[in-house]
Formats: sequence, structure tokens, C-alpha cells
Amino acid sequence: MKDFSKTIVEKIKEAHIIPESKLKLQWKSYLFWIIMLCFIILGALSLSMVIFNIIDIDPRFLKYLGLQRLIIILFITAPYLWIVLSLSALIFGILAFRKTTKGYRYSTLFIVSLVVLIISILGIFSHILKINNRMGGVLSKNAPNFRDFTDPRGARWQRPGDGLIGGEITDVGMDNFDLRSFDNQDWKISYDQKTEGVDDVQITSGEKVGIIGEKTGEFLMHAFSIRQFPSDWSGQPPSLDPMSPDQGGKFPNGFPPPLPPPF
Amino acid sequence: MEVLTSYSAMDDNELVESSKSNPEVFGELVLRYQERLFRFIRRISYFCIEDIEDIVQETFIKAYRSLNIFDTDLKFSTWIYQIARNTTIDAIRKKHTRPQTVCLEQEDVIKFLRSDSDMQINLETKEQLKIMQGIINTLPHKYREVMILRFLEEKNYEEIMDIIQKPKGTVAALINRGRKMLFDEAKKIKLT
Repeated sequence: MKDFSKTIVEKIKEAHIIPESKLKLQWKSYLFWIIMLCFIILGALSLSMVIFNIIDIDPRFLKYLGLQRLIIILFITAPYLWIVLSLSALIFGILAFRKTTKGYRYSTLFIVSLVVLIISILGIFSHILKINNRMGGVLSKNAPNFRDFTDPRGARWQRPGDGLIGGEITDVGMDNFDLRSFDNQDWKISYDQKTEGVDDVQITSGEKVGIIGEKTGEFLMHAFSIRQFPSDWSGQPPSLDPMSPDQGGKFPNGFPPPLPPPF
Repeated sequence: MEVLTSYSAMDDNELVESSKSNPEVFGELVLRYQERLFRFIRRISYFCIEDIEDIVQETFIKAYRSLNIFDTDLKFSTWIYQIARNTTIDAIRKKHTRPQTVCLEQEDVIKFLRSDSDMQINLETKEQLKIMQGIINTLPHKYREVMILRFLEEKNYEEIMDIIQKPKGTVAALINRGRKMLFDEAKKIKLT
């Protein structure tokens, strides 16, 4: 084998080759760090939207609706858009990490755990800071047609057949109040001493509440539990609510019928 | 040559630092690694001597251009092997062929089998050695490459991980699978 040391040194000198800058040599790695960061932020925001939509379900749902019905409601009104976005961001974040200069040094398990941890922490942090709440508001305002996907809570509180209705109190009686649902239907809600949450919830006109109860007639519902919504929540329903009573108790093809009353 | 000799007392990292401002110093690094790289490239590729020499030169020029990103966490030898491997893969891609006809020398085969204490393969005759040489040469590239690095270049798992830029677990799995394939083939022809 020839000795190249002189040839190579000569080549370097003749061609005026100099060591290139770090930025020029590592721009790809920097780019993948930025891409990873973007996916982590997207993942965290999506996760906070998942939390935002799931946390709407509290233990009272289980108490009054039963496990089976709760699972079905959750399945129908799960925030799929945000779940898919969170998972996609996680996958692309992991791939971007692998493409960084030293990404190969870590095991897949370590990278997955790290990215999941960062996304979870930032997601929970976004929820605590109510960034998800503001984001939901902005999306509802700017993309009302996609509300079915961005905020499935609206659909969740438009299921009187399953014992869930949400809206604004319009008039207050002795043991009942009138409620204008989020899809502008007027309901009469009755309650009694056994109804959970009455003492904590302000039953006054203009308050936004959610009712877990039993439909007792046309636009009539008896409340087992009443919860208060934030006043700034629009809770707008999806464009087509399969359970609305104005459909005369008939359900369009492709939509599930209401579940049996809770035991 | 006298100038180069005066650098021989410096370690690799010092030479890298000095090379950034003085290409003459880089000559010492070339002297130290050119033969090892030549052998490594010959073992993992099927190229003729002239092509291998071109790849070695290209490797050093690339390394010189990239001196600013030399990571002192790595040994210089690991880093230069990494560049040599990538340059060889690029050359193989340019030729649009797979390195299937790579040829390990017989002494490489003996070293290869002796360096792995787990591999109890008997090589008593020249005929058996030739058969074993054939088996190693036809191993899939990804297995042969890591086994060459481990048993002929005598790199540890960490170094191999940095050279082929794959996680340590993958390196271990490739070596174990390659070893098993080799052992199974040897068993078939009753060399174990």
C-alpha cells in the first residue's frame, strides 16, 4: 500500500481545503432537533386537548350511567383528532431524535420513554396553565365546522337519550328550572334533595350547567347530578346531533340508539 | 518526513487540534491510520486496490473538512472508521452493486475464528479453511461488517456502535446472529 500522507497534505494545500464550520457540517442535525422540538410541542398541545376533553368525565358519570354506558359514550365522543395527533407527534418526534448526530446511541425504549415523558409533562403543564382551554376557544371560533372533531365535549352533552344534557339556565322554578340546550332546545329540568351538586351549583338564570339524569318525557328530564360549566364554554353541539329529541325519537341510520336507563 | 516524525509524540486529539491550523500535522494522522483503514475497507468491500486507495484518500479529505465536528468523546480511530465506513458505503452505492464478492484473506479467517472463543470450529486442513472462508464471505453484509469490526479490527461494542451508528443492543444482536449463522453453517459441513 502506498503512503498517502504526503499526497493528502499536498491535496489539502493545493485545493485550499480548510475545516468547515460546525453549522455547515451539522445543519441537518440542528434541523432534526428543531423538528423534534416542534413535534414535542405539537404532541404536548394535543395531549393537553385530550386531557381537556377526557377530564370532562368525572366519577359521577360512572355512578349514574353505569360502566357499560360510560364506555360507549367515551368511545363515541373520544377526542380522536387529538389522540391521533398526539400519537403522530410522538412517532415523528422519536424518528427525528434518531436522526440527530448522537440519536443512534440510545435504545428505542429510552427514546420512547424520554419523548413520552417530555410530552406528558408539557401536556399536563399546558393543561394547568389552561392553554388547552384557550386553544379550544380559538379553534371553536375560527373553525366552527370542525368543532365535532376539535371539541367532542359538545356532543357528549347533547345525549338526552343517554341521560346527558347541557345548556344555559333560562328560568328558575321551585324544584325545577328551564334549560336552553346548546343546540337551542328548551328543556324542563326537575331535581330534588337527592340530586347531587345542587347546593354547590348556582341554579340561576344565565348559568351554564350539565345534567346527568333521566329523560322522563318530551323535553323533560329529571336530574341525578348537576354540574356547573365555565361561563365561557360555548359547548356548541356538533352539526348533527343524532340524539336530539326533535327527531321524534327516531334515529337516523348509522347512529347508535340511546342506551337503556341506568340501574 | 522529519516534520512528520516530530509530531509522533503527540496524541490523536492534540494532532486534530493542531491540524485545524496546520495541514502538515494532519499527515501524521494519515500515517497512523492509513494502513488500518485500507485493511478495513478491503475487508468490507469488494473493490480493487486502486479503488480502495481512492476511498482511503477520500476518507482523510472528508475527515479534514470535518475536523471542527470531531467529538472528543469518541476516539479518533472510531471517528475515522465511521467516516471510512460511510465513504465505502457511498462508493458501493455509486457502483450500484452489493458487496457480495468481498474476500477475506485466509489469515483473516483464521484470526476471525480464533478471536472468538465461543466459536469452536475445527480447521485442520487447507480445504476446511477454504470452505470456512467461503462461508464468511457469503454472510450478509450487515453481519459480516460487525463481525469484522469485532474480531478482526478488535473494536469493542461501544466503538462498533459509533462506527456503524446503530444502538448497542443492535450491535450485540447482529454479532450474535452472525456468529450463530456461521456456527450453523459450519455444523452443516461438520466442522464443529
